[in-house]
Amino acid sequence: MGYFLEQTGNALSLGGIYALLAIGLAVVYSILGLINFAHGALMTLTGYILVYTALGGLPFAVAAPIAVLLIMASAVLLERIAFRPVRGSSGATQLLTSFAVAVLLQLAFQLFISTRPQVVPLPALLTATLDFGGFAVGVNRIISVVVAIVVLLALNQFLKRTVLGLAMRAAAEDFDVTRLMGIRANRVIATAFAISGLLAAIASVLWIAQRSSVDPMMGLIPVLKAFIATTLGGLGSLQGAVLGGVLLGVIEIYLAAYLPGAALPYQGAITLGVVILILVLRPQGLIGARGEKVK
Amino acid sequence: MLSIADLDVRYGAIQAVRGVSLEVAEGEIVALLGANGAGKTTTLKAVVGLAAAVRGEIRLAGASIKGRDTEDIVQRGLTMVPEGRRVFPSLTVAENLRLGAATRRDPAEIAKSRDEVLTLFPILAERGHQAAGTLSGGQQQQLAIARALMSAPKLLLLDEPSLGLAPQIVDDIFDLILRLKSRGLTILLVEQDAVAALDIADRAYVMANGRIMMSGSAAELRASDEVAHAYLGAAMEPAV
Repeated sequence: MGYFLEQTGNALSLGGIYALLAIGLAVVYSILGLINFAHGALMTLTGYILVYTALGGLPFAVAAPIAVLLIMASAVLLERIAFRPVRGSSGATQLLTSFAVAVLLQLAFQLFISTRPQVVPLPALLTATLDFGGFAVGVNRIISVVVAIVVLLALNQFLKRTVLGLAMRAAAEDFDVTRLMGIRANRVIATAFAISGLLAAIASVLWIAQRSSVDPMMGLIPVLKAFIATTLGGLGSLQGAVLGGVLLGVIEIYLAAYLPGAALPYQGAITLGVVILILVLRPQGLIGARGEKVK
Repeated sequence: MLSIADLDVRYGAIQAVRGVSLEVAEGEIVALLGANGAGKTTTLKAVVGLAAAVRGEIRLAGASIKGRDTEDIVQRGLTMVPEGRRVFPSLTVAENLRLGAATRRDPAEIAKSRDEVLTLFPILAERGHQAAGTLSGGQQQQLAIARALMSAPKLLLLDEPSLGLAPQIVDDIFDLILRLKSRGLTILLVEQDAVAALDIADRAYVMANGRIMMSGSAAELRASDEVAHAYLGAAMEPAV
């Protein structure tokens, strides 16, 4: 029972991070029809900001919010420089643009920083574990789950209560008519990138809080998983992204925890097998999305 | 109120609007008629800044609005109700209305508009928390008009409000347009249903192949055989 609860803590913690990343991808996709693979590079960049702010002597608790704000700004800048020039072109063009950005940033990290992992010093609190009598859960796992829940609730309030949030949801359904309401296209798109940057940075901080290092490829795998999660949940649906992210985290951790030793090397293959099975049964994902993208 | 002079609009490789000039005076309902593909919707899109005018001039209350942002145009008092209603289906009725007032800042003024709009469309008050996509076609058309009114426009552009609605509902919508006129709103109405449009319009223009072919008072155009045969199709055939 203790083992099961520990693994559940791990599953929800990983699922929460996938959910934050997935929703960041989904927010941009729902409006632009762009799958932004440069999302992973933003995650990695967050890690390097944490490395250098720690070298500069800033405590983690101060550095983390600074990193989040810088990454939000970077995401908006990225849209302005890389994605706006190809706005309205085909999905393939936009997808390739996002790959190009991802590769360029990754090469920049390798050239100007290091190909080897850099240590991110973590406060002692994050590496502590809490003993619940029979099972123990890392403080970083608990913080990860709590932060993911708080962020998702806050995002939900933003999308329901503010005019800009309503405009984001409206733009995901009908971009032209959203403009007819007198809402600037650039404002909605910049907000989508700001939100995705915010979520990538928070996910990155939570990810690093469990690993305490960063390397040029760090963001690649989690964002690939997040992309699988958005597909699983229903591409472009925000609720679907959350559901898909949590589900993927749960499947991965439980398989790793309960597969017999001989089958363990196939954990990744079995996880993707489950995802494929779900998509065969529900090709539109668990929660399908609709809406016209920016043309 | 609205003055378009010698407007050209391209739509991709096609020149959809050629040398269109038209005037809408304050307090009028002006109908813009013509068959599908005549360039009516493109003209409206150019007016609200969703299609780029390559030549010509568009003035609202004397000031040029050609090439301006839609946001700026809406703030100046011109709002368009798009063809096919296009409410935001997963947003509630109340959320759709709130977005209609997206360019306005004063909460008291917005609340006042909402109360006026809900008096005009009582069904929307009942359905406030319902997703707009679950409304009937007629109710969605009411919501689309109500949403546009939330921007407190002086001039309303209506694109094919009768499209896909049952005749009884179309009558209701056209009655409503007349009521909006009596409240001081100026209206430019694009319609394929020429008979219904000429019934409520003061004046009308007839478009074909991107050009204005004809214009005059609604009564003149109703009486014109040329209009009936050449541009408006069988709907205008005398019922003898």
